[in-house]
Amino acid sequence: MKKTILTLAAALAFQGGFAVADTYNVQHSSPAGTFKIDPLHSVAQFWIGHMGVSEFPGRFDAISGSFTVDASNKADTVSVEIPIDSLDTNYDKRNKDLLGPDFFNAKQFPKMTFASTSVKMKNDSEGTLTGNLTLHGVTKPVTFSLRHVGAGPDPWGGYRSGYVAKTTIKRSDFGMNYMLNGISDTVEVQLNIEGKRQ
Amino acid sequence: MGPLLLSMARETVLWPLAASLPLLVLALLSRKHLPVQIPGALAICAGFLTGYALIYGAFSFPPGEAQGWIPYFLALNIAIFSYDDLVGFPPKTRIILQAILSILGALLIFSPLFRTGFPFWLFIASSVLWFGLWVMLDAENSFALFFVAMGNAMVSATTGSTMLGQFGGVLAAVLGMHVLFNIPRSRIPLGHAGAAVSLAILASLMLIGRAYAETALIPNLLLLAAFPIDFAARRIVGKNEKRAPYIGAAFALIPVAIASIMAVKSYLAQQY
Repeated sequence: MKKTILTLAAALAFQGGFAVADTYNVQHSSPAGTFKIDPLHSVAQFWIGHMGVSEFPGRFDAISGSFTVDASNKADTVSVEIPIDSLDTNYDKRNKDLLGPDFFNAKQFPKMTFASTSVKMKNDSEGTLTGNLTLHGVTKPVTFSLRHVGAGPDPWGGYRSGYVAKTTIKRSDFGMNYMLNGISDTVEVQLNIEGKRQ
Repeated sequence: MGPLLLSMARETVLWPLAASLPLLVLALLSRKHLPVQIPGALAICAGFLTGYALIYGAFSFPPGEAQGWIPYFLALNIAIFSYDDLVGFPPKTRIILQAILSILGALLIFSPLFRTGFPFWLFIASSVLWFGLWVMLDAENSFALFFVAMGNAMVSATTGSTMLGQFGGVLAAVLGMHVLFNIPRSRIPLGHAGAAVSLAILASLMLIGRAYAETALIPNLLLLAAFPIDFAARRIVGKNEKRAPYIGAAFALIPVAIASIMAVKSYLAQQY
């Protein structure tokens, strides 16, 4: 009996020790280099007001492109391309409505693109990203708030860097005017991008 | 009824009818001075464009999307065929104009898709179909057009695009009002202009629905089948027979009803 109690106590102590350890660390290596966007760890998400009662999310699952970070932050560039038909809002009928002529009109405008014109970093991790967003056949300048999450080696011998960019756009600026009385004009957009250094 | 639904009902029915009704009354009042078909066609156009502007909210030129061409294409159609109603074109001239406008209509709708690999033969087939239907419907007081417009609203809204469904609803509302002015006897015939604009709207909505919103194919084919059925029924009864339009419309209603039921059932099957 005494042996059983001792064994149980040892097991609990051993298990508890592992459960509280947080071994996740943000890497703070240099973000410089040219990176190809890893589509498996990148996503474009949006939130849009629905009937004045909620903010509903959607996302684009396929994303490609690249970004280059100069050591002096003077020649940074970002280029992103997203196929519109990679849209997912967790409901097929709604996806079809959104991809049709009511909103994105994916048959005519099959992709959206973003090409940066300037990147201004306030410090090592925060700044703004300005560029031209082409969506629904309309190109408009857009400014994102930019946060550098981290950079460093991955376990497979590569080197990665990641950012989160957020902005708010008006869909009517891009010619998407349908049902503004039920679905908000203002859309919050967030790009989570992870790139692998080339 | 919630505020959104009320707002949609106002855009789709109330304001289009408010724009259409005075022109229909004007048509009746001015029939001694002007061919009654012209203000009748203007009433359809004004009603539809009112709904279109409220729903789509854009009149840019050149338009960025296929549906953006509809107002300009309607203006062209009504200008040409109102003149036809006024002076009477020779049949050959009218047929040539109808062929050209059928091709132009399909071209405006499909041209943005040509560079994405859209099959060219579908453009040709659509132009031919548009032209064929036009010749069949031209200057006929077809109540079937109203039923098909209603069916198109239902099929578009449930199988592809709420917006195109609303546009279809606007067309059905203004054609319904036009029909009311022609019961029990024809007071404001569609004429060449009315047939041109009604078919231009309906054909545009159906083609945009199939090409851009992937509306269901079989219900759309059933809607199209309503026209030859109406045409054949009227010919069998006798073109000049007073009850011919009603009998034609009654037969046309069968495929329209089947198409609508199919579309609604497929919509309900998709709900959670």
